[in-house]
Amino acid sequence: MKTMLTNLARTIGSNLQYSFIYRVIQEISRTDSYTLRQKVQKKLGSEEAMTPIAVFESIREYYITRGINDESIAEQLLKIPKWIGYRPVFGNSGYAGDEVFIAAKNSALATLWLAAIPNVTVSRTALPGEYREQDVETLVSKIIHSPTTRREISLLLNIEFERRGMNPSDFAIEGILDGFEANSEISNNRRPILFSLFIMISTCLELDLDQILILDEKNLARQTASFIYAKQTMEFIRSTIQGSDKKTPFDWPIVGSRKICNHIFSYLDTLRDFATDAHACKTFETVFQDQSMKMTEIDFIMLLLDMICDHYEGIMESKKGRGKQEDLQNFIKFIRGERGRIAQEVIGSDERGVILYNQLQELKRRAKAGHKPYVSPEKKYRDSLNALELRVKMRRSGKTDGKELVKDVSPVFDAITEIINKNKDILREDTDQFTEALCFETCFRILEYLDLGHLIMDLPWVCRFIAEEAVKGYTMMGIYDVMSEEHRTERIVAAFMGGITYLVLQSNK
Amino acid sequence: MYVPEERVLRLVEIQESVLPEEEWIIGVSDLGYFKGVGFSMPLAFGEDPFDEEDLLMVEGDDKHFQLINKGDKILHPVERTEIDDDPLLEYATNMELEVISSSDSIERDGVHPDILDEYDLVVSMEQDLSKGNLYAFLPGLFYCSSHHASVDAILVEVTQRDIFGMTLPSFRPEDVRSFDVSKGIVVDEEGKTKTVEMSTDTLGKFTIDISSEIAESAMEIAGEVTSMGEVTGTQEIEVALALADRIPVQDLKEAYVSGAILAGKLMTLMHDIETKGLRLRNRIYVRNERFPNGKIISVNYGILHSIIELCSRPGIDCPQEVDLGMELRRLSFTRLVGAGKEVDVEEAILDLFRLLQQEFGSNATKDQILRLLFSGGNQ
Repeated sequence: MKTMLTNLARTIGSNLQYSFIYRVIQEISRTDSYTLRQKVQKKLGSEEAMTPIAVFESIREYYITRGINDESIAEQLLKIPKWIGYRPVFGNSGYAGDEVFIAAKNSALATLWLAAIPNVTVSRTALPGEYREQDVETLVSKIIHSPTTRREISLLLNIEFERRGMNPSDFAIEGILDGFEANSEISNNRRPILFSLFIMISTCLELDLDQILILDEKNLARQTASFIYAKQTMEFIRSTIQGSDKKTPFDWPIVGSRKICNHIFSYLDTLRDFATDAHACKTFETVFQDQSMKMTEIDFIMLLLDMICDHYEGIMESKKGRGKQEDLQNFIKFIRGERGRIAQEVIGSDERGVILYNQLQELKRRAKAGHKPYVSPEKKYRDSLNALELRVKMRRSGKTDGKELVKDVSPVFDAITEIINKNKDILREDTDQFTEALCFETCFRILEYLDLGHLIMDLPWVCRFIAEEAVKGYTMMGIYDVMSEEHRTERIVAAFMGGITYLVLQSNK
Repeated sequence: MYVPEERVLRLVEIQESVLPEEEWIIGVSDLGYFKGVGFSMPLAFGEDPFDEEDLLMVEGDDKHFQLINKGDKILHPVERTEIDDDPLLEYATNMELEVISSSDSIERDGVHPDILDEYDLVVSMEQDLSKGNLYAFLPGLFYCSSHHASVDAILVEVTQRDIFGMTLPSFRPEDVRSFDVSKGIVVDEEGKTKTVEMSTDTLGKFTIDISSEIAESAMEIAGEVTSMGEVTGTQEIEVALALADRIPVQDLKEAYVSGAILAGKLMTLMHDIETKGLRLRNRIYVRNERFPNGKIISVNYGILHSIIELCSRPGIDCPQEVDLGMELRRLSFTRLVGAGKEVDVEEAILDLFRLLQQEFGSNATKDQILRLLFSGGNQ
């Protein structure tokens, strides 16, 4: 038992040593209250604005957003004490003494330490199947259990840090609630939950708070460990596909090998195990007729195919401007269009890796031979909408990059244009109205995924405003057939795409 | 949609298509009156929800429109007329004579269908109308682009059609928008946005230079492009990204009201008000199954006529579309401003017109109109 933890400490030490978060941690522990005071004053503007509560909150926010790259994760981390039922002790007036600075510093430090845990506890050389042997569960249970066990862990880690000659900055997580007080006695009993929440949220997986609040300590440790394992396994699969310097198994025109595909499937099974264990995790759920349920094996295989597509899209992006990548482009379209079919074929066989490899080979051959993928527009629409939903979930919508959003959304709207064009003969005079209705519904679904359903009322006029400005733009480009009959559908669809892009981007600000 | 708590006139725009060149309607209305758009169900025939007294009573503190007062002597002769006084039914009386005369001829000519008597006629018309139509209703002074005319109210029948599993409604509340802003946004020479008062000078000044910037960069990417087919969709995305970059969603409405296209519509509306004055247009815009593309219908307001001609009765009347008149007369809406009550099309139109006159006076200039429309928004 002891050696297990010592090994873990070694892993943590070696992973942490050169990480960004550790640099921020060091920076915080080096900063003294005087420098900090000056920094805060600069940020808040004046001496008067420096009330204890403002100082406390701005320091916490400053360090946590600095240490955590993902804004939405940082935001959630800041809110955890409130969720669990704690509030800052400091008042809204008076002088912010040193105790405020120290409390804020301690609390920020502890938050960053806990946030680092998911990324550093699993050894880079271990395979997903071996993760459980590393016994992160014990580490977590010691972290959440009591001050005594936490001290035990601190001691162990500090010895390790010292041995590595890392600048002494103590692993101190006891101060997580410095400067906070409990709203009621119940909150105090929830301390273990508080500690695990910090770790769980830092895994970037979505979670169901209600399910977590009712867990007992033993299950809590198990859940938290599963979250870490699941996250690491996802990373592992991604980096396997990505490859390293020497081995790039999926570097176009290579589409993997039997061996690597088999390996990936074993990792995928492990991921499924972890995902089943982490039942408070919402990332691995699909919504079907408003009911969320666990992802099935098919869903996981489709997820894998998505990751592979993402990888190839990255390659295509990096090769942009160096000749046409038509075969690669078609290859990606083939996979995206036939995800469901491939998953079905794979699942029914004993040699899943081999089948997947053969399928990829086959698609490559078709793409190379100049086959154009034919996917019916309706299917494309359905698939691209599902893919979009999945991506939105994976990315957690924190801060959306405009270009990336457009890339995700445009297949959906392209499919709409195709559907309309295909059915123009039947729709006839209803074409425009049908297009608008379909776009409207689609936008509503997208907004709903992002919890932005209330923006739907503004959608029509925002879209039209964009259409108006776009007309001016086209005219300035020297295009004079902007308003011709034949481009109406495209323009309606484009207006909605612009509108939804604007609304989603703005709502994140 | 912005729904004010009190009675206040606001600029209201109705457009169903996202394409700017499509039909639009713009006008001045009070969305507080029905708390949004008014929705109706037809009354069953013969039911009379309007208390006579109530219908003829005009709430009365304004000077311009004091036509009728409760207790005025002329009022009492104006009884609600019996159904057989309806101009439409007048000939029915004559038919009765025909029935009598024709019954003589049965023996000679054999059996043939009886000519309907008055009751049958009413029943058959009622059956014709009893499809249970739901109308969306917006009283106010509106200008309709496709007919180049101003009207006193907009009435759209709400129907739904299903095509390929999609529901296409004839009317969506999202297509009606009012502008609860008091300022506009323009872009200055340096490309910075700033808020300005709305006036005839600042109208349409939000031409975002974004467009030209984008056009240039897009041209660089696309090279010489002359046809739309090659570049569809690119501008919309660029505009969306640029807007998202510069204008927060809560300010977008202000940019929108300062945009050139809205300015064009607004100027048309104000020009109409300025030249024709602020009086009833005696026309309404109706869109229903019979007029799927919308039609402007001339109407008479019975309550106004009843003063001049003692024989006519209150209620809206369409001389050219008689049965439409019957249909519209049967609609009733729940007024939600003040003490709520049921009103009919005519009463709502006149109520709103009274407010218009009160606020604008009878000959308002463009700037006065603008100032009123963009005063005391929620900013």
